[in-house]
Amino acid sequence: MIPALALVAGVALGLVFEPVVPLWLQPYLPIAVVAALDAMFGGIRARLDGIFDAKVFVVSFVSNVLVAALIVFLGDKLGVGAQLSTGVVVVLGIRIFGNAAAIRRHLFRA
Amino acid sequence: MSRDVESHPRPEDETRDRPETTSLSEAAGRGATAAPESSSAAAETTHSASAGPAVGVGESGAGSAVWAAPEPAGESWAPSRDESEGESAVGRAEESGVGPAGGVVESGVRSEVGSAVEPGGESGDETGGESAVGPAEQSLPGPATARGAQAEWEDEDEWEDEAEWEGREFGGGGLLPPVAAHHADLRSAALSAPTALGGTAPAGVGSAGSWSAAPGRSDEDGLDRAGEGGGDRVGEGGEGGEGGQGGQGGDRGDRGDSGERVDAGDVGDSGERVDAGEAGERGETDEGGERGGHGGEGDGAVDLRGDVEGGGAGRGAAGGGGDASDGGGADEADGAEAGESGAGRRRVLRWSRSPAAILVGVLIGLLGFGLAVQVRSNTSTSGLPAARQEDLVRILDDLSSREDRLRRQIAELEAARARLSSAGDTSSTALQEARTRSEALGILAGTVAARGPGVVLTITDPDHRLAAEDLLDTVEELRAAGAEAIQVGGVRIGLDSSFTAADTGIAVDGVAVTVPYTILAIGDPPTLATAMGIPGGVADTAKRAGGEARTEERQQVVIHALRPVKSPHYSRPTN
Repeated sequence: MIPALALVAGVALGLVFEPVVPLWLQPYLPIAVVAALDAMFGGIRARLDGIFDAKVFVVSFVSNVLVAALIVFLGDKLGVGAQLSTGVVVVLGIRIFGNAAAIRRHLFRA
Repeated sequence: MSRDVESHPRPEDETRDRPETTSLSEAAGRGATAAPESSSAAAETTHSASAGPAVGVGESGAGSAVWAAPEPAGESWAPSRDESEGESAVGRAEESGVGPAGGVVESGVRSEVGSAVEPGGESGDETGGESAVGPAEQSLPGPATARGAQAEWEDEDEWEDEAEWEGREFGGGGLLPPVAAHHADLRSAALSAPTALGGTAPAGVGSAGSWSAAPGRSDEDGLDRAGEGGGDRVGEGGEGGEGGQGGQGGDRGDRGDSGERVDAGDVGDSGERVDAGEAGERGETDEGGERGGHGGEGDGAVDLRGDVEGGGAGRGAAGGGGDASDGGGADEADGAEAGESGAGRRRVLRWSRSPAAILVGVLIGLLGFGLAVQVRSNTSTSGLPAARQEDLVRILDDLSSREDRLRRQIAELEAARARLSSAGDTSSTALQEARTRSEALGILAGTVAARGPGVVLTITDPDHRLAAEDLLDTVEELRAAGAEAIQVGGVRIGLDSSFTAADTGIAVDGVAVTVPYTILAIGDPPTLATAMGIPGGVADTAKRAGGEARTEERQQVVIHALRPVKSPHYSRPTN
């Protein structure tokens, strides 16, 4: 319940304030958002599995975001930023799909 | 017998859930010693407690029965979560019922067993009956095997439903309800019903299984189970509020009586009636009866079981007497466990409201924020500032190549425009020219009206001595003088005009013209006038015929008469 409300509140704040994304953050924000989405889906799945642990969630959330941003950063420095970004998005997308499938099985048993 | 059982079970169904849950709370209270707690804790304890009794029964009954039990329990477990309370209870009951039935049959194989089976079938017809059987079996096996596991599960899982589930399942022991009814001991009856179920089932199982074996086990397990069972039952009894609790501690003695009484009579009856297995068991094994007696005497918990289950009594006796004392310890142990589980859950709950949960909320909120910001910025700007150098180079290349393409396109379009505009000029000129030529030709051909300077020639012929040839000569004279358009009377003169004699005089193109003849001609007036006056010309001819030809020069002569346009029949333009 709290996370759902927080999500709604966050989206609302983002839409209301429309902050300008700092230049240095612009390459990393999309990847970070995707990584956070992955963590969120994982958390939902864990919740449905009954093994949700707030500590695990927090750690995985933060580390996911940081690692994703780090990969993109390194990619930029190495001159393969675009390709690495694509790779990160693909991997995270696969994970999100997997978690979504598990959630679906929990909710619909199908 | 079967009727009683069946009829009772239904009422129980309703009551089961609550009573048990409440009882659970009570149980919790006991456990409370170990873990004084909130309702949630109580719920957990109840679960464990319920499990405990079941276990006790199962063990006493037969190893096989116990074993079989675990699976049903698992099944019942899953269903219960999904389904709502009331329905789920039935469904579980059925499922569990199957499991138990099988267990009974296998283990039992006795005439009693058979009877037990029959009851099951009957009950099967009626939901209540089935559920009752089912619950008993379920509760027994499940608790026995999975008991510890369940308790853990509950603790681990925060599912609030679980407690309820368990309660239901136990309640499923619809078998007991009859007993309860007998006693008419209020809710305790209802409460006891669940237990009774569990007890009954166990009894049936036990009997079905192998009593001989059972006793040994009961003794062995007896203590443990007794303890568990006691705890569970006690918990249940707690639900009942009557003997249940009493059963736990020293109360057992007293309550044991009450429990016994109720169950005893009831159990005896109900057990026999209801559970063929039990009856069979009893009949077969006096031990069971004895045990039941023991149980009743010794332990309130035991009594409860015994009472509840006809067979249960036997078992209770088996596990009972010896167990009774154990039961106390077991109960305590259970209570402790329950308390722990409750504590665990509380811990979980506390954890869920702890700073960690807030942190989770904050992170999720950040995610939403970032999501919205990113979507906004991505849609509002081109994102060029954030683009990488290689991307920028690629974009630049794309743009320059596009620019080239567009420039080429512009050049092509401009050329096309010039071509088209020039073509338009020439065509308009040609059109103008054609129009002019067509007008000129029209005037010459007599297809368009014409006006301009010219002469009006009037020829009088009082004696009608002028002939068609004279008019033709006049026209030719005018043409020779440069007349461009000529009208004789009302007829326009063209290339194919004809002058013929008619009854009334002269006809031009078939149209009669009357005296005086008026001829209009457009051309240079002096030239035309001179041409008319030349010697031997028109004027002389008219004078000789006794008439007169008068020529007026005008600056404006209008010729309205038109010749019809005739398309050439044979000629075609050569191009």
